[in-house]
Amino acid sequence: MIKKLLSFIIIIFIFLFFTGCWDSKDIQFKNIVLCPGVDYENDTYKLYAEVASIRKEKTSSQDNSEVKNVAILSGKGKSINEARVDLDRVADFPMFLGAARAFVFSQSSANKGVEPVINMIGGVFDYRKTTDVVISRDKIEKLYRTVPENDISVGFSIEDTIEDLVEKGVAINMTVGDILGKTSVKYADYIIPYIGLEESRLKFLGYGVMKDSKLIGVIPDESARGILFILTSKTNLVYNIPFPGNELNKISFIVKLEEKDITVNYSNDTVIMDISMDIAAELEFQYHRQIISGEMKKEIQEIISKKIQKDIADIIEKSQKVYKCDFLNFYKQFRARYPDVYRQINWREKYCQAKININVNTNIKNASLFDFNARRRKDIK
Amino acid sequence: MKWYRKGKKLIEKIEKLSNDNLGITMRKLLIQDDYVYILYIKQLTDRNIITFGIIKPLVENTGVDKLQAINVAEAVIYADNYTLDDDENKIIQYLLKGSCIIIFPCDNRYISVNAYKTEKRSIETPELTYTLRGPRDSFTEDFDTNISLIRYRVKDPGLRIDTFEIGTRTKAKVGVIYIDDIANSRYVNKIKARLTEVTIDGVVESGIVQKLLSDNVFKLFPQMGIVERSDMACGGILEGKIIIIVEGSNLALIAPKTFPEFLTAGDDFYDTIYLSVFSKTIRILSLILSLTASSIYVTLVSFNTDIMPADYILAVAITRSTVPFNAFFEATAMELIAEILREASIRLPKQIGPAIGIVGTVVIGQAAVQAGLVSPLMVITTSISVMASFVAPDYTIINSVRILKFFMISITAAFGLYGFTMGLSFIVINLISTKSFGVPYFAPLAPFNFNDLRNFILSDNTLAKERAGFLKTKDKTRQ
Repeated sequence: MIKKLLSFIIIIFIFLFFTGCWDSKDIQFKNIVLCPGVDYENDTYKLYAEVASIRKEKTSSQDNSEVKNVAILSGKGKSINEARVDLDRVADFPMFLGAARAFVFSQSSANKGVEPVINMIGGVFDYRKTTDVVISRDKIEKLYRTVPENDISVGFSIEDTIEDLVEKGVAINMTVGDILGKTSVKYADYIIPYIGLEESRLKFLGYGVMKDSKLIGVIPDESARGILFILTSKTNLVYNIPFPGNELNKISFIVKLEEKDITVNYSNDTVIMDISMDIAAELEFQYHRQIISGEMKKEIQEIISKKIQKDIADIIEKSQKVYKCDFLNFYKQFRARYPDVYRQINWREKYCQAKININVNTNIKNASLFDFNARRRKDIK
Repeated sequence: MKWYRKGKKLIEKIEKLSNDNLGITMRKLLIQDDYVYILYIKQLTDRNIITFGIIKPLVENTGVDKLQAINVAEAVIYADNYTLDDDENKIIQYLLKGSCIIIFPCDNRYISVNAYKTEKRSIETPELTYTLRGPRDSFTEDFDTNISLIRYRVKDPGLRIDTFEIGTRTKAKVGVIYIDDIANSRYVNKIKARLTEVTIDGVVESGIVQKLLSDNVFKLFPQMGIVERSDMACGGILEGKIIIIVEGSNLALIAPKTFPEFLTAGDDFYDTIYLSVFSKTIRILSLILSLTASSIYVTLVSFNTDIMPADYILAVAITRSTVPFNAFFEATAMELIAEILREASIRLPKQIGPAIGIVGTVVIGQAAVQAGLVSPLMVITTSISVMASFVAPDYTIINSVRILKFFMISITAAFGLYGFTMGLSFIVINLISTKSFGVPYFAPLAPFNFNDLRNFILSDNTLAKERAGFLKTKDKTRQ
């Protein structure tokens, strides 16, 4: 019995030396960062932290148990590290990144590169890997001072906006974990959602193109439809086309990606890619209700396919000719098929010269507008 | 005239005994010009049997030629159970067991008539294992009543009741009940051997027998179950288990019993499969919750806050913003207060107990939160932890959980989530390495047996064609 007890105590003490829990503080003694941000101006980094103010405001009737106020802490320095040390000087408690909702880079800091900051965050053990990363068109300080009317803080507002768009299938997001993954692969370029203030409200504006983790350009949301077809498996885009034979009438279709197949071949130092997509289209509404015949259906399918094909071709062309980087992540397919070749070649160069064939097949799944008596109705021509 | 002298000598000794404040009543009857002595302890005997079954026939009798023990026993007294003996040293023992002794002056033998009767409770509804669906006849402190409750349900010729006398001073009857052609002989013999070896001075409750039969008294988890309801005892006997009834205790013991079986209530077998599966799931979850709720709170607040969703982190932080204590102290203090309240409400009379519960939960909890001493989340956690502990059908398993809860809080407070995992591992290892009379304590999960596990989860004897494999019964077929 004594032997067992002794071995139990020894095991406990061994564990004691292997854990670093002694200096851990309870959650209320930490600065809960909701939205860290980085700005760069006049050769100086500015590190911001939007911190939740959790002290209870006792009212006469009841306790207020919601975050109503946030505090903005900031530190600056010639380097990110100096800025962080400066930020610690103003912080009353240790920073806790486990509740961060969004990580904001200003456009100027993104131009300088996001990798050092992301690596710094990755080194903190309690950071939230799923924190959304965004680039702000406006200065970080201005962004923080804009208190959102319908949300608790800027951090919440950014995450809620981006996540809602992603959920709807009309945008893609980029998290700290995603960027850490991208930066570990050579030639892995990427995009980061781009936001800005419009009429004192946060707005999703498009995507910042990141080459070597530095911002090299911005693609507006209107021209970024092709990105969604290539980078996501869930799209929910609306295409508005004229009714066949009646230019005055318009038909709105919700377009969903059903299947995607990207095949990569490499021969004679040339990359050849075949992109094939099956699209399902659902009739959303018509300006004026008209019956869609079988022939018209085929025609509409053709129109939608061409539009999608054009969107995809445009964005590929931009990546190859304007930005000269693979932010559409075709490297994944190539690297998976030719891992040895990928190590030897300059993928960026090869990608820019790649021949890419796009084939889109659209199938209208629902054209009846859920009105099964449409054909009998006299007012419908 | 040797026998005459011996009889006289015996009477002289008994007269001396009756003056020794043993509470022995001595009645002299003049029959055929000689005295017959009747000895009994009035608190242990039935006065009607003595008056109408012994004294009256003796006084009225004139037909017996010689006033000898054998003649009287066979032709005079009305007694269903008597013994003839000539060992004068056994007289005291007979008397203490509730027998009436008849001594004849001209016979060295005496008659011991079983006239045992004590005050006893009637059969009442169970208090520890209440049931909605099952029968409500529970065991009492009377040994024979308990046996009769089993006998009227199990009318099997294979039913065996081996009786032992435990306690050099209490001489309490202990009955080992099983069905001979079902129960594994190894377990029966093991129990019998241990009972035979017992040399304790007294046994007044089945809990002491439970400890005497245990492999290791330092084991935290009980290796035997308690049975209050006779239907559960009979169910256990039919399953191939052994029931141990102790005179003076209203709780029988059941062995072997595995850990998962502590979460089975009698109702499970009587209700629909869906309900029994649902109830069992609730019980398992409750047990885990009772053990871990407070320690999870400690690790979430102090160490691994980042594993919570971001919204919850803020909610937790806000509720703790005014709490001056760290999570470990807060959790330990609240759990201790809950245990104090539980102990108080158990010991207090039924009329006051609920009031204490209300004072404890509502008044103290609310006041502590308002004073900012504890967070509302901690109060909720403690309440859930305590509430969940009442779900187990056998309270003995929860006693272990009550203690282990503090172990879990301490180890989590020292090592965070790592400690939490470590603590749970210790407990599971302990459970798996334990045996109940040779049966693996964690069966049918470890060692794993799909059929036994299915039968355990479904709790339906109509679907379970065979008895539990881990019990290694002689007759494996149920239907």
